[in-house]
Amino acid sequence: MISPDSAIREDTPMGHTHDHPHSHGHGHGHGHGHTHEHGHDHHHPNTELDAATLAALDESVPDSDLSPTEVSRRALLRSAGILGGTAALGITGAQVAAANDYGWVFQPGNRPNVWLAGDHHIHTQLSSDGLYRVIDQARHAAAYGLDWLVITDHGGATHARIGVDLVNPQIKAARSELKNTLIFQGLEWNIPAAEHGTIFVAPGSREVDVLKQFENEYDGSVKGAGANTPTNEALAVSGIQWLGQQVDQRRVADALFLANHPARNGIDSPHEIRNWRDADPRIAVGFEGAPGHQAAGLPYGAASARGLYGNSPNANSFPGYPAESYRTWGGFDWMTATVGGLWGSLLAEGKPWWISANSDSHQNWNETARRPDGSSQAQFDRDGRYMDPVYSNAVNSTASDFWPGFYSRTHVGADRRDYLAVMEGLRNGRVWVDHGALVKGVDVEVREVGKRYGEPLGGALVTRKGRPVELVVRITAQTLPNWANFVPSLNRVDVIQGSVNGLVTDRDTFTTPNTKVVRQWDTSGRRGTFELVYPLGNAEEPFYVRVRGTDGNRSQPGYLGAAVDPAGPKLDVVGDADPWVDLWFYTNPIWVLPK
Amino acid sequence: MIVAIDADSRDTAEADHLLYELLDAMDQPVVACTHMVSGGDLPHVAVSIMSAADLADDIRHRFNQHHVGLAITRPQASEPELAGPSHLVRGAYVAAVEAALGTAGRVVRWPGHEQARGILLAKELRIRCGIDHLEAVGGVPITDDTLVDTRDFLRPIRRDSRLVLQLQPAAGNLLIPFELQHQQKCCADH
Repeated sequence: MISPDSAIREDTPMGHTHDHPHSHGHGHGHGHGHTHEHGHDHHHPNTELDAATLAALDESVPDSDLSPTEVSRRALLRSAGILGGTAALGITGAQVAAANDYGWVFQPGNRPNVWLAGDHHIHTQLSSDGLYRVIDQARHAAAYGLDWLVITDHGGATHARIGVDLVNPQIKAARSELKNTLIFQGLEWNIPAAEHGTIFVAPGSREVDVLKQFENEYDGSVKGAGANTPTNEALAVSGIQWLGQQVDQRRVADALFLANHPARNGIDSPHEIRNWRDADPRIAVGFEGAPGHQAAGLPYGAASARGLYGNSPNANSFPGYPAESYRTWGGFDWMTATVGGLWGSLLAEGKPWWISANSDSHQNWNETARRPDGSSQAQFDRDGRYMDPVYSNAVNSTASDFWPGFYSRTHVGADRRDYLAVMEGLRNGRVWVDHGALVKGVDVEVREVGKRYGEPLGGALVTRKGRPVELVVRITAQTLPNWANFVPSLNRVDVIQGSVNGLVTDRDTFTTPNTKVVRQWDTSGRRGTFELVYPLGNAEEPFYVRVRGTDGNRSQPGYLGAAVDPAGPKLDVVGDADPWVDLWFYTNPIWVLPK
Repeated sequence: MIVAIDADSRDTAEADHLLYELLDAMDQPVVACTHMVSGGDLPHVAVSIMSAADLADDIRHRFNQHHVGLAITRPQASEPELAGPSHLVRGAYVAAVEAALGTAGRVVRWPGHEQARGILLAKELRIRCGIDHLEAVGGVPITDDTLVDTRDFLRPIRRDSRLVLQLQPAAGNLLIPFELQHQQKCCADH
């Protein structure tokens, strides 16, 4: 086992603001520069408050000096996070620790033999907000260049009752129709206490049984477990562990979970993401670096928020997340787009966590299908699916989605072109993602200087301390037009480097130090396949590197400042986010672990 | 005084409607807020109303028959007045204290809100509409002459006893509120 958990540090400049989930913006630290020696945190005029409440708020007075009434007031204020003290983190350490015995962190790296583009987030007429048949989605995905896809209709009472059964023959028919396309059955899990996530399994005789049982026992909608409570958070962890057991018992050959649109509503707190990851790292492998619904911000279309990231906090939201986290940045989720942000803070723990990019296709932009007359919500609830789409005699120019493969791609490095190899490639992080076919190929490795081969994406180069190491980025520039019918230009490639600091003490940490853009290459005008080499110096301390590239059209200093990221993705404008003129690729990281 | 009510509203829209109903019957200047209630069984939203007038009788009377949590705090009182089922009393009391401290709360009504309609200059929002501070997400700069399209729906937040209006960029070189009136429900039929 490789576990670079050497130095456990105080890890984040913002860490003190979220010692517990509710301290942010409440009660403490009002920015008046007062000291806490006397504990008079609430000394600004509270002319509206009664004496008992004022006494309860004064933390310099011990509980023993308060009347019973005042003590009970204080307990109320503590439970709400207005006063410091324990607030439930939502999960028992034991539940997660018990699951953490698998003993591997990184798989030793083979260079991928084949890159397979795919999409793990696609809806059909078996979703209450869907439209298309499986074959509609699969044929378009194949035509737009995808090698694999996952059908992920929403979990829910109707889907759990019959939808999960009904979709299977459609998937099997599509598999035999499209021999070169790998079509997985999955579902979009309503993660208890959190957002949605993709669950999918390797095809086999029990694929439906396992998904159906999972949905009936662990779906947040089926179980009425959507609210952000400790019990529901624990149910999510149990669900991930249950999937691992199905693999152990060989009911399915493999299963994976990736969280979808994680920052959209602020309800995937940092500790929940860590708990999923640690529940079973074979199953929970990552989240969407870029959400779907990329057409939603088209100024000549829906003119909504890119990715449908247009909301503000609700009662289930993690209070520590800033307003910026609720929007996409260059089409990417804030957790991924922020250098040194939440994704970085996960990687800095020295544990794998990968990103993907998908369509979330429900109803596609500029498309001409509609549900037939008589196909209603009631009909869906009764039959488990909408009736087959019909020609609408009109163009739907305000739909939010692109067809699978039309705009977003998740490229998986695999040993072979088959189902299990795609799942293994995803699990091992041999993954890069792009928008608008920005680049034809990206191959990244980290190697000791002088060696011919190194570690591929998702790998960890274990090297003797002090050895010189280098990053090699092999880009194949795009030669073909994308599905907007222009040939994109990759004008800049950035290297991001972050130190590995070991496990965080506060599992709600969402920033990490010593992480920044260390190199920007101007790649404008480069043609063919070219190699960019960045010397990483002598390996003294553990770190990771990752790579991103852009057409360079829209940039701004990153959320954590220009010193961290001078020209990162720009905050997307609600109602004015044309995704075709703001293209990025992101790779997963590679670790360097000196021993 | 502060009157806070926890009617177990599921979201801010529901809490807003509760406040509209309560405030319709009042002609006093108030600061009315919604407050996230978390850390309990089911996260939800409570409301608070701060006013110089004594609203207690009205509110008590109004909710006499209903299952809501009620918290009333007054400067001279020795204790807060708390009533209702215990799981809702907590939310009401928390809302009252947050309102008093000025550290949290999403503001639905405040002195000056009636001026905050249409497209305004940033300085007008500060001078005429009672907003203490404007800030835009992602570090977008704001000057006195920045145009803000209020979309007739502003929900500033309270921070350090100040009224802070969070904004975001929009098409046409405008800023619009960070919180828009219509939130995207998940699994909506989009």
